[in-house]
Order: sequence, then structure tokens, then C-alpha cells
Amino acid sequence: MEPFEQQGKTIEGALKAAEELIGRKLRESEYTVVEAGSRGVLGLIGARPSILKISPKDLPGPSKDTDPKISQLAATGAEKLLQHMGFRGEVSVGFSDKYYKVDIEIEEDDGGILIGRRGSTLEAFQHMLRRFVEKNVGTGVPIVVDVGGYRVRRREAMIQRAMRSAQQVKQTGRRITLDPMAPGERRAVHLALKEDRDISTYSVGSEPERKIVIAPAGGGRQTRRPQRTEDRREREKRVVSPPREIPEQIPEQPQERSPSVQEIKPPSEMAYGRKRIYRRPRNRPVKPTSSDESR
Amino acid sequence: MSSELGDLVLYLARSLVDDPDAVEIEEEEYGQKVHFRLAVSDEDKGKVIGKGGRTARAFRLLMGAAAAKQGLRAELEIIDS
Repeated sequence: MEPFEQQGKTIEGALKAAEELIGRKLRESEYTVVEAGSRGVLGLIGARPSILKISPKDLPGPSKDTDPKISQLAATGAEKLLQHMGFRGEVSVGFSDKYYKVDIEIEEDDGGILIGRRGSTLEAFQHMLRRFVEKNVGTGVPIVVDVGGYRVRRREAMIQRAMRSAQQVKQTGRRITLDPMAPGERRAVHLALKEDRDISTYSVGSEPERKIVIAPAGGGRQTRRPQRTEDRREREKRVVSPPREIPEQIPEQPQERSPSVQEIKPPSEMAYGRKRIYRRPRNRPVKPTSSDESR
Repeated sequence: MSSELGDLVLYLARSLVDDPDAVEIEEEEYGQKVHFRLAVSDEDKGKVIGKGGRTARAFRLLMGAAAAKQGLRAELEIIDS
């Protein structure tokens, strides 16, 4: 892979972004710090991005020769697993690039169940098959399982969608957050949009809700407060169990909110002693609607 | 029907562990829900749970898929033996 430069808010951030692009952890010898960067005063004035120069080495991957014993193990393992799960399917094993590729053809109705939400069950199947084969072989074995070409189709669809969003970003100058994707899919999208100088891409959130953000080039990341890149669903999730690394972002703590909101609170609700109301539900009609009155 | 799920649970567990003879399962049905309790030897516990619970998660997802095919829901509990 060609050397390239990676920007980030911090050195760690740049490193993480580069690792996502490459699809593996980077060794210390594979990157140098071009610009250490600075958060600036209050994160606003004088903030400079950190720049890393990444020169990925082609690691001696798993042997490029197919081991027929492993192919056989993978095939029988996949067949047995399918059978025990109560699915009928045809299994074929090939060797593609650097990994064993297990393709499953299955009745169409069952394909969706075996793939699962955003491919989660397929990932589980692959993980389990790897465990089985590795138990027999004793070393790590790269296996990729696909059902009816799902992975290929999904990846293409994600790239297409990201490219349309990229056009939109260019037209509007506003960043767009894509739907959550699996790490491999994100990597494909990052790579597909890497050449486009007018936009930049990065990821936010944590697995499995991690999403790509497409931002106008030279913009965005440095001035963006993290919580604004998240949708409401994720924010609400965090109120329930805030992850340790971002405790300061818990929105709407009752203690902080209550003084000002209490002033707004209708006295009738105070009279009932409902101390913890700090916001009227958005959808509740304030007055009865005309249709209610006519009834 | 759910005994087929039991087969799957046993198969998955025995394939993962070093000591297949120590694998035991209990099965309870609540309507559409089937609850499994899985016990393995102490040494093998890590193998069914996996790094960060990854194997256990895969275990549950595969059970879930097999159960969904039969219109059921499956739960897995890994218990201390």
C-alpha cells in the first residue's frame, strides 16, 4: 500500500482513522508524526490538526497457498453448522486473495434470517466457523463467509449511497452522517471516497453503531462538537448508560436543568408534587383539538 | 421442536470446548421462548464466552436464527458449575 498522510484532531485520532482505512492495527514503525498538532486555546483558537505519515508495510500475511485440509475443515464445519441450525444450503469453499472464502447458497426465504440485521448473524456464523477451524488447526485462519453474495452487494450499495451523499455534501456544504455500518463496510466507503479532494470522511460513535461522516474538505472535524454528530436514539441510549470516556456529554441532567425549567412549570403540576417534570412531552396537545370537542 | 435447538446448543458448545463430556444443558420452555442453561468445565468457560463476549454473542445470534426459523425465541445462560 502506498504511503499517505492522515489528519486528525489528535495523534491518536489520526492513528485510529488510518487504522480504519487500512483495516488493521498499525505498528509503530509504520507511521511517523509529521505535525503533532495542538488543541489550541479552548479548542478553538490556534487549534492545529495532527498529521501522521503512514507507510504501511505489506505484512507477511497468511500463506497464499490453499491448505486443502483447511478448506475441507471449513466446508464440513459450515455444512454441519447449517444443518444443526436447521438450514439447508450448498456450501462451496474457495480461496480469495488472503482468505478462505466460504459461500453459502440457501433458499431465498432463509437468507434473511441467516444474514441477520446488518449482517450480524452472518458475522456470528463466520466467527463460530473460525473458532471451529482454528480449534482443529491450532492457528488463526482467515475465513470469510458470505450468503448469496450478500457481502459484495451490500458493500457496493453502501459505496453507491456514500457517493450520492458525497455529492450532496458538495452541493450543500453540510456534512452528512451515514447509517451505521460494519467495520469492513466503513473501510470500503472510506477507501472509495479517499480520492475525492472536496470532501473528507471520518467515523463517529462506537460499535456496532459506528457511522461514517462525510464532511466538506477543510471543514468540519475541528469545529464540530461530538454530540451534534449523533442522532437522538444514540443520545438517549447514553443517558441510560453513559460510556466512561464521554461522561461530560450526558445531556439534560435534571439537576442542571431543573432551576430554569421549574420557572416555566405550570403551577398545577407543582401542586401535585410531581417534582421531576422538566419538560412537557413534545407531542401532547396543549389544548383539546376541535375534533375532541365535537365528540 | 425445541429439542432441535437443544441439539444446536450442544453441538456449538461441544465444538468450542476442550472437554466435551463436561458440557451440560438444561432447557425450559415458556410459550414461544426457550431458555437454555449451559454448563461447561471451568477451564472451558472462556472458550464459550470468548474475547469480550464475542463467542457468546455469536452463540446467541446463531441460536436466535435457528429459533426464528421455527417461530421461537431462544435465550442462553452460561452458568457457573
